Amino acid sequence: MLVPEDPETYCVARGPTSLGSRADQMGWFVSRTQTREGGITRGEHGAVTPASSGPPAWRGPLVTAIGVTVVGIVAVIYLNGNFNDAEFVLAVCSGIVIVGMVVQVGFAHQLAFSQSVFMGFGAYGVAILNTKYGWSVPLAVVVVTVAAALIAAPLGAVATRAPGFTLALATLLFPTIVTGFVVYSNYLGGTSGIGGIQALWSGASYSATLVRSGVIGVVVLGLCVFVCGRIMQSGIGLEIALMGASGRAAGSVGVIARRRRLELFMFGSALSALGGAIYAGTQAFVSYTNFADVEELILLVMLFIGGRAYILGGLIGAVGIQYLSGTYNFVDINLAIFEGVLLTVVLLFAPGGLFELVLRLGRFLYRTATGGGRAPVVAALASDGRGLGTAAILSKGGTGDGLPEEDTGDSASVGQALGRSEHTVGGMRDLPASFSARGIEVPEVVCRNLTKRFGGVVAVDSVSLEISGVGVHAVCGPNGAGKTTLFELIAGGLEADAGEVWVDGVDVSRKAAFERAQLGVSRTLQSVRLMNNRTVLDNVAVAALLSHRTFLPRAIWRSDLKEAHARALKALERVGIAEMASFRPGQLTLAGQRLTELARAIVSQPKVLLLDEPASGLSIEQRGHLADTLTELGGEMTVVLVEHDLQLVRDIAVEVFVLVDGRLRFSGDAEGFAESPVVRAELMGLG
Amino acid sequence: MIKLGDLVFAGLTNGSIYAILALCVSVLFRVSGIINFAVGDFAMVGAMGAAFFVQNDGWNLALAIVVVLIFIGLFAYVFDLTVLRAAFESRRGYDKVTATFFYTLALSFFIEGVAFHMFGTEVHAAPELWSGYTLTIAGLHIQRAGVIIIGAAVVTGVGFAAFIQLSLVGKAVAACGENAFGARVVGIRQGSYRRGTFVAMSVLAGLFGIMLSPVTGFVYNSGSDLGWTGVVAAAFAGFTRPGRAVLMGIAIGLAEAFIGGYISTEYQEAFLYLGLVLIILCYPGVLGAGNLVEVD
Amino acid sequence: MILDERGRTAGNEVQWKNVREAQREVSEPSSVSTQQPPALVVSNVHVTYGAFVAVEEANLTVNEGDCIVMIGPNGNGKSTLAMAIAGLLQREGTVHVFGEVAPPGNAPWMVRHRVSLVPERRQLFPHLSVIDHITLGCYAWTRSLRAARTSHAFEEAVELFPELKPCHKQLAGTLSGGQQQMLALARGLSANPRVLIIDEPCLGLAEVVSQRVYAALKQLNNQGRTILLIEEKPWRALQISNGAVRVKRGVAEEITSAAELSMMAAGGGEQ
Repeated sequence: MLVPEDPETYCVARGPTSLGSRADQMGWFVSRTQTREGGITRGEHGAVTPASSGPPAWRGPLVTAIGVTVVGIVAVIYLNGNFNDAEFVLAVCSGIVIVGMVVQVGFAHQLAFSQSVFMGFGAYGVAILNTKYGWSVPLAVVVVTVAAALIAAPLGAVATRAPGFTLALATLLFPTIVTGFVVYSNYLGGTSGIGGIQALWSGASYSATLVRSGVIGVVVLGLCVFVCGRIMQSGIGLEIALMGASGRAAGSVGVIARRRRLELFMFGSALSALGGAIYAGTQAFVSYTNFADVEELILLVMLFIGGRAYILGGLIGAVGIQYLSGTYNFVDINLAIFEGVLLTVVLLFAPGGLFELVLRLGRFLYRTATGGGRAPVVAALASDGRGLGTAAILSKGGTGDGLPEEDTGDSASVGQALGRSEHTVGGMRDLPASFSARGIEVPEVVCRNLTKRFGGVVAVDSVSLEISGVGVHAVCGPNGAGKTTLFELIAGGLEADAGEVWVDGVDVSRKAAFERAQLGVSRTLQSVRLMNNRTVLDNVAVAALLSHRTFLPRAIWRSDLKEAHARALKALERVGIAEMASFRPGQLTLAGQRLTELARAIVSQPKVLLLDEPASGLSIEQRGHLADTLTELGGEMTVVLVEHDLQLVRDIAVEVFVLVDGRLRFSGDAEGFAESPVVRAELMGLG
Repeated sequence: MIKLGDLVFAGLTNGSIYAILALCVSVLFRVSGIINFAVGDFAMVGAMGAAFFVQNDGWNLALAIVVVLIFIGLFAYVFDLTVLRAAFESRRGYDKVTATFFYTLALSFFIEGVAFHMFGTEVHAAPELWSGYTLTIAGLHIQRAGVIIIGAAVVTGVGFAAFIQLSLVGKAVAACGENAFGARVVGIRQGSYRRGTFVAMSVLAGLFGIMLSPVTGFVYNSGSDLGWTGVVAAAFAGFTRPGRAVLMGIAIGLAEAFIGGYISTEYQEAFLYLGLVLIILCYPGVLGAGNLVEVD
Repeated sequence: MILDERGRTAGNEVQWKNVREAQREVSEPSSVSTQQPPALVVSNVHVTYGAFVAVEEANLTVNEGDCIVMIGPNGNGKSTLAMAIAGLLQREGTVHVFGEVAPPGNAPWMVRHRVSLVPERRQLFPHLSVIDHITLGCYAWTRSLRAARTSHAFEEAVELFPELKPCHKQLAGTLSGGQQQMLALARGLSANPRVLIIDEPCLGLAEVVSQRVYAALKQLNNQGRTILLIEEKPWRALQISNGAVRVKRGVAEEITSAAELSMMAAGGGEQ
């Protein structure tokens, strides 16, 4: 295991996430999206192991769920069926929907406006099944919830295929469509609605019925809170978090984004229907006005004002808004004005919702009370555009330039006498016998006549090469020569206009990035893409999950996050930053962040590791350490680098490919590379 | 049986409104990345405001129109100055998805709330700009208001295209939409352009609302239907092609008329939107997804 | 010198303070005198992205007519510094432009005071034509299309790269990389700048095209324009420049050692 002599090279702020472990416990009660690490201890032989890894992952959500249930039941009974009780029960129904929205919209960032429609579906479904077919209400509730998920399936399958706002725009019109049909339908009660629905649990009087049905509603809510909390805390939750942060990174570690998006849509819709069903069972009357487009906005307001990604926040939002609109006539009549202003203010000043504001205040007070002190000012290695956060600032305000960010070749290059070099399998350096025992089998990566154009520019021009055997292989070339584009073509980020890519004997030319990741291709990106609100350990663990291929419901009872954490820790040890496991990426230097990405790339034990400019922005000592790490990794897998640092390449590469203007101009071993006239002219500016 | 020609004319009339609203949404999106869900509500404010001044205060129609449009312009200006500027130009950076959608959704909500407060559920219609009997040309019944609307839409469309092509400021507007950073490099102040565009588009929407209201009458929430249709029309053009957005708006107007004429008038809106949603779902590529912000 | 006969100076029809200054300059033939303030004085500039320090401290002085090259490894702050100077990023510290204090983060001010940036990766407008780009460069000093198209600055920008003439109506997104770079330079020039900041002009270009670009830069410098050039590989830039600034780990300082300069010019680039 290689440990850098000075760990400070990688870390800027001493001390783990500024919360401190006591305040971390707050994370349980809000069922937030963090996992807790108890800290790292060093064993006798310098081995690093996680401390008694803390409570099992289901404890947090369970505690929150039970808390919510108990509070809810007490409130319902205490209010004893009066007007406020009716409002509270309404809030509970909205709460069930909101909890689903926290997962769908707040946590996974899936923007859809379909919740009110599905809520209406649930309510009307129960109403019809009960009043027209005599089904019992609890049974109707279950049937309607399952039906909603089934209906959401084809909708979601189609809508989530497309990126961007497709789902949002399609679902935006749902309420208008459904209202348009319902209003004119006698079967569905037209404008008068459907009444006379039985209660979930009847009692002797109206208020007794309300209390009893309300209790059932609260229990259902508690159940939903538990399920949602479990999902967010599980390995699948981690996948979803990464998907929300960066779709590219998620694909590159094997997350099947499309499936997850569909599952989220089905889940959110099912929960919305459940909320509506409970509504029908407690209100005895449904009308289309309760589920029109206004209701959708009300739900969104509850979500955003309360706290987007916090279950408790969302619930408080629901109760708060319901209470205000029920109690104060003024608010109710001017609900739209009130909510419009409140939403705008919250978005401007507290984008995470009022709940997050309160939390932050709490943390701040806690820190000042315990004298924790702030993390020292980050004085990281300067980087223009390669670090976290810079991309956010630079992309402020509007669309990008539309021109490809990748290298662009210059198709107007004229009369270069040197033609394309024929590829030869580069001679291998003398490696210890243990390595060469693996021998050269099927080439790991084969590219045949790969071509990629952007607009009028040919970025990669009919490149053919073979990369085989273990060791470090490098792709070099001047800026803009097509190196990153070539990488994207191999890793699956781009599809070639012509030519083929084969990995380990399999034609992957038409396969998506996540499929190639599952075949053993692992990569880092040129600009660091880490989840800033998760620890380093979490960031690495997401690539170690075995749950990529499983379905969402499995997350409720089984999560392999623990095992993934263990594997992640091992990977962090390999690259030498195991001590940083509980830090946030924002507290690390660029070097530390790059090593985190490297650990993420190797934790799945890939066959082919693609690294895009791993040394960029690193100091001399950091590069030395990187070189050692890469050489060691090269002993087990095929490592392919894009790199500008010619010294690094000369030191560790077994084979070098040189790309100039999108064409392969040299391939061979490191000595040949240093002597080649092409290389000397193009790369080193000599002669 | 309704004549085909009448249907076409009605479709063109509504389509012109959708087209202009789609143009407004599209241009604002290009310049600033915001989808303006409140554009229809500005139309409503124009219509109901003008009606209010004329009917309640007995003003001259021209005066009422001018005052209402100035009011809309001022309101849009102040809104941008306070909310949008704080949202987009804060040093902290902003969440792109939220900013794109929710500020204007909240605004739409707010405007409707105020209108409801002032007018309840009453229907109001501004007086006609060109009064008289319905014209009868070539056996078709042509409403005068419709002629005005279509004419105004054509003039607006042509004028806008000319502005973009033939003036430096117009090219600057196009540049903002192409590459925000590049525009800043050249010295274009994106914030000012966003503000100017927002004000101009709001006033334009208000004007067309005034022209439309004699035909249909406005309630406090009629604006949102119009506006959201405009948004969908702009979406079909990828949000960034004003020319295509205009065509889409007209197409939707015609489709609406035909559905109403041949299928059913009750379910007209429902079927229209159902059709639109089905198209979006089945052919998501039609939204020109490449141009939209990555939601990831 | 920079400007031509009075009849055809840039921005004849628009009263901008700098234009009047420019016109005054024509009638006073004394060019770079010692009383002229330096073109750019950057002192203690500090640029951060949130908590992340991209430029720790930058100090440099550029006199009028200089051609200074900023060198240093990738990712160390060169581009950030250039953008901060040009007003595209917020910064701390002071920047003087011909003696006037520049407000931070104000790109329109900079452009009006004739400091023009040709950014890394060009940042063009893909669906606008070549002619439109050059016209938009004139936005710095006028809002009138006619004034822009008939001005001397516009003509000069068009003549800078005759190779672009056949492509005038072509959309920028369809040009080759070299053509795009030429267009970006032309766009920067039509703003009639006194100081031109150019970030990595040869990114992704073939050797022949790079030489053409550098020839154009030399020509502009000979006309008296001040040039601040950012290059990763300095050997080419050092042949046309008369000073260098090293940017390493966010610290920018002038290189005064002749030995170091000549070593770089000979081809040993620091990685």
